[in-house]
Amino acid sequence: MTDETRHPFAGPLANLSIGPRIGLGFGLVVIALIAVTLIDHMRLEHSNEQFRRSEWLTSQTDKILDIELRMTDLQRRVLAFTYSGYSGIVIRVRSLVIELRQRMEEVNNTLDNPKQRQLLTRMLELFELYAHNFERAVEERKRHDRWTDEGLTPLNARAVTLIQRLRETPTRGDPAIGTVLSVGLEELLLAHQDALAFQKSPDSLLMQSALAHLNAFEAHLKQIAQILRDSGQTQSIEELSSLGEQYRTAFFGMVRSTRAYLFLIYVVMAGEAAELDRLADTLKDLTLAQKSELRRKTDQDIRTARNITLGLSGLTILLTAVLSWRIARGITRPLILMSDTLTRLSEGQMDAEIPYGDRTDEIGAMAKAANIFREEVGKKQRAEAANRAKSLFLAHMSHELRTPLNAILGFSELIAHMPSTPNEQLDYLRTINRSGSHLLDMINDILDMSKIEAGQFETQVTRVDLWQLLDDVTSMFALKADQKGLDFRLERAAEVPRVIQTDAAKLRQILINLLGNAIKFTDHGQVRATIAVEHSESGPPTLLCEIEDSGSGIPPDRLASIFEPFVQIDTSEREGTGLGLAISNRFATLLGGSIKVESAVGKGSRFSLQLPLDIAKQAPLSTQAEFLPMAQPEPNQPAYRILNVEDNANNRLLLETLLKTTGLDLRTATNGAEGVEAFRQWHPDLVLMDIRMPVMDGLEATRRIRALPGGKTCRIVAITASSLSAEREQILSADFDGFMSKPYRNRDVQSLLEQHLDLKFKKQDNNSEKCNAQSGSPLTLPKDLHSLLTEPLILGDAKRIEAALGNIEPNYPAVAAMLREWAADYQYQRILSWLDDDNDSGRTHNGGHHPDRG
Amino acid sequence: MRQPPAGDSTKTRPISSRRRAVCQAMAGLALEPIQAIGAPFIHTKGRVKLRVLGTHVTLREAIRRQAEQDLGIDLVFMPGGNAEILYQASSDPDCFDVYEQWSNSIKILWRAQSIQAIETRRIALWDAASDLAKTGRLTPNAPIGRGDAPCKLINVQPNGTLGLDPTGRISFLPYVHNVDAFGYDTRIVPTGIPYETESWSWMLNPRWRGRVALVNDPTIGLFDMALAAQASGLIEFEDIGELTKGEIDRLFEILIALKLAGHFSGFWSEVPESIEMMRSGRAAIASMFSPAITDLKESGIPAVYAAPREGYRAWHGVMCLSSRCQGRALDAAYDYMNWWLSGWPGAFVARMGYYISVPEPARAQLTQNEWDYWYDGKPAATDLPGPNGEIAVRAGSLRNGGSYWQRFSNVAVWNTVMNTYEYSLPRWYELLLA
Repeated sequence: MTDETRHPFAGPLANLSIGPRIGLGFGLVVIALIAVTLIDHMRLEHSNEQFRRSEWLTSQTDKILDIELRMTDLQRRVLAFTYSGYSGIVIRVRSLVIELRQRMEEVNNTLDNPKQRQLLTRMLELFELYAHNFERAVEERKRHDRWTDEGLTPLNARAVTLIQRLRETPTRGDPAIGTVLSVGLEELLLAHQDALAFQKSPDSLLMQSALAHLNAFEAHLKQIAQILRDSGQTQSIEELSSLGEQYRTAFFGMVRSTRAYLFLIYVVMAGEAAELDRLADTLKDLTLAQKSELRRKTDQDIRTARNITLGLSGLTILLTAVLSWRIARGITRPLILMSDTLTRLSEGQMDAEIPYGDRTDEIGAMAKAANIFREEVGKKQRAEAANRAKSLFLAHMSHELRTPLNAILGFSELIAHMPSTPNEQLDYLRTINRSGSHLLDMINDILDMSKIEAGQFETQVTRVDLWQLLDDVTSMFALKADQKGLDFRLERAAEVPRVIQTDAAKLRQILINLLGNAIKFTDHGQVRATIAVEHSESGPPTLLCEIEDSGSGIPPDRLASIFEPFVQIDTSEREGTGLGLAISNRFATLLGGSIKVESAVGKGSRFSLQLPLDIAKQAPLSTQAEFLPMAQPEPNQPAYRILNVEDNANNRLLLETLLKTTGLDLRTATNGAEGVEAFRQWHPDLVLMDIRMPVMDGLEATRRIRALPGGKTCRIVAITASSLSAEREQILSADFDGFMSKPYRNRDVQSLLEQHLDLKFKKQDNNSEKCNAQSGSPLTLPKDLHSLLTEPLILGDAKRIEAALGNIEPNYPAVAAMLREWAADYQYQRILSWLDDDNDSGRTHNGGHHPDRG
Repeated sequence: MRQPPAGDSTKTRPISSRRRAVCQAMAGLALEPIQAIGAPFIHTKGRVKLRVLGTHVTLREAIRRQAEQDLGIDLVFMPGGNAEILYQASSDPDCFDVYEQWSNSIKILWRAQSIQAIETRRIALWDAASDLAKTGRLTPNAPIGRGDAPCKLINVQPNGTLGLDPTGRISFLPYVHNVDAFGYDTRIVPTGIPYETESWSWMLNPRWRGRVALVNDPTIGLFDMALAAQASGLIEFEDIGELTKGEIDRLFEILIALKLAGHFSGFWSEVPESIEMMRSGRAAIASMFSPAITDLKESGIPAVYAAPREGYRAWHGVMCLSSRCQGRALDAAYDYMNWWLSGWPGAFVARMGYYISVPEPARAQLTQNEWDYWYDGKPAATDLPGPNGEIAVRAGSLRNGGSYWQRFSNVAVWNTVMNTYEYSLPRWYELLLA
């Protein structure tokens, strides 16, 4: 035995139930798969995020580039302003400044890198300085323009005008004044020229030159002032001097403003702009570096995630493989092995090994169950073996017991039939026979009982003609009851169904037993059998058979025990095995019913058999007899009168149905007395007389009818259920013209009519013949074959009986089957009786007038 | 990491926009810059408030506090960039009382009439002041140097011009001065030998491409470049102190070409910027002012102030009076100016590497070791502190260039406003934005 349970990974898991284990395994796989999915999802999210960030960085770079562009534009315009001073440019520059500031702040708000923030903060600072300096430059430029437009130029103009006026004024004295004035004017103009030149192209030399000229101009004015006497002129000179001062001031202002704004723009702002450029570049580089770092990281992350995913997937696959392997090893394989084992066990190989007995999971449970199964099977087998042994024993024993008994019975019969046997010996033989029969009965009973004990009886439920069965049974005891002078009657309620599902043999045996007992234990009075249907609110209806007698009764203290085996009430002269009631009780139980008893000593007993009523589907009213429709008589034949004396309504109906189509005149009577009366009044041609009837039976009725006028010529046929030869003798001696056994078929009725009324019938086709033959093959055997059976039966030689049956079988399978069935039960006597009956030429008896009447 | 020596405490602040606006507004009120009477200035009850406009170089918090303490006045320092404050002062004399910068601003300011003459009789230690500013030579044989030597600018002539002849009225008080060169990070640029291997040409050496920074001031940075170009043999100037238009064109051609080639990594406007540039590695060699070098050394960066063999670019610090300064403020201004020459500030600036016009009082405030190192050019006997107290000079190191007198014997050019100053402006602009 391979030690499956000790495989490497058993551990604590092996004790866990299979479901959880598989669940655990798959759970792990699911977890792994979920992990893979999650990681993948996370990776995608992460990638997405990184992509977004990359995009953001790109947009940042773009923004910074934009800023750089705009700054270049700004500087260009500032430069343009430097040359032109044009106010339009100022406006444009200012709007550019606002835009740039906005953009820089925008970028600043979105930056998250501290280094970058630092840079941008510095940029913003510088930019503010730059913007501010620009404003100052603009201011200075304005001032410069004012100095020029409101200072230099008008001043100069005024001075020139004044000088001109002075020159035109005639002066007392010195023509030198005029010259000096001219020179002074020249100087002034030259200074102004220098000033203007300075504006165009600032140069310290020009400034110095202008100053020099101005100084010269001042000097000349002083010169003139000394010479002049005229107050009016002196005033003008003073005015000129003042103008000169003002001009000098304006000039300095202009120079200073020029230098100021030039310096601002060319040096200060340029420095700031250069630094801004540099910062922007650095910022851009940082952003680009960030981007490439991000790119690198993204690649790395993707690779990592991919590796993880691959790893996990690989792991999952591995896990699944391991799981499959484990399931195969730990579950599938054991299951297969277990299934094999169980199969082998069920096939009877008890020595199959049961593996995994020490596992504590479902497999272990299965192993334990298999063990139990094996034990049970073993037990069963042993029980079966025991049973078989018992049955064999029984069969053997019964055979051993019956064989000599049959010989005893048979030979005693033979001797009894020998004419040479003296009467005295006849008595002894009869005693022997009786004793032998009694012994046979007891053996049968004992064997039945032991069969019951061994549980070997099975019910064979078939569709049974209950009415027929009841008739059979009652007719069996009619004679005996008559002999004892008992009033024996069967009363059947109208609602008792004709066909039920039951085990006919057992039911028959029960009824035979009960009736037999009733008649046996009743010396005078009556035995009444009542068959009825009992309805209950809950449950199906039950069949109730009550057998009531006016016998000796059973003492109350014995009532309970009468159903026990071997208990007999009266052991004196009553014959009996003491097993009958026990067997009946058992049979009743087998059929799902029960037997109850009520009794009073001296008054009688009532045995009630209750069986669940299983009404068979409404079958055709008769048994096999009515497969085919009744044959039609040939036309133009007299309509004979037929009287049916029958107490059983169904039987009456049956005959009615059969004869309806024949065109014959049919009347019925329900008992013997009515029948006599009907005969007297109607004078039928043929009377079908049932034997067992209330009020007056068939025998009495026939006697009376024969005594009537025309009674002797009428044909009276007895309809009997009995197959007993004794009763048949009685019938024949009772002045019947013939008899018909129940159940009868149309053919039987047909041949009856043909026989007794000379009625001719049309031919029927082969099919019907065949059907008839098949369905109701006349259970009859040719005489020559009887001899095959007779001797072995008498001797009780089972082997020879079987051989004989084997010979009969090919041609007479039904007969052989029937006989075989009886032979199997050692009912050799029954077979012999049947053979006797058969000897009496079958079912319809062509009696005619009995010659020996009387 | 140390803060650059910017003046950013409560009383010193850069020229804020608001201040500027105020000054602007005031200036804008007048069509003419010179008001006859009543130029508005800030009154303070009790302590006088003195507003000083200058650069980070001299406007230091420590100095301010000491001055306030010593003089009992409220000092408001307004440090700014070179260009900034020059423009500010020249356009708006109402903004300040005292102006501190360099001699190259004198001409502009004098011509703009933003400053007034200082009476030498009100300067206590005038006579003790060195000859450098008065005659132009510290030592008898020292070259005066090209360009605007302070001696040419200091004396206010009767006709209002500035000239050599002393008149008892000066346009500025000479105080802090030094010779400048370029600074370099010895971690990158190998240390040279003063006056021998160290040369202005280093600044244009392609080896340092992308790591050279200049000061954004045509009157200073241009000279650095001119000296460098001449030292590199790229150009030769008639008078490096007065470049002609043609020379300027050529010089800028060279410079712009270099700029396009990526030689220059930046232009700085304020001293803290220059320190940051060198500290961050953006510049390995740059126009530098002395205190920046000291600062870098204090923070552990081995920067060296070169002693180029072509000679230095000298400058002289100037303290000017605003032409609008009067009354109590004027008095306070004179007090302040006198205080500067009294010793403590001289010692303070000595540790920055600057000299003062009246060295002896300063000497009294320095340790012998300090005097030896800073003025005498002797090796430092011990670790010497900088102006902030941190170790600026390691024991055993030598002041590059030697003693005060030696250094000032090697002046190549003074910071100058040339006649082609205006012409140089657009060129400068081109250079900046090339």
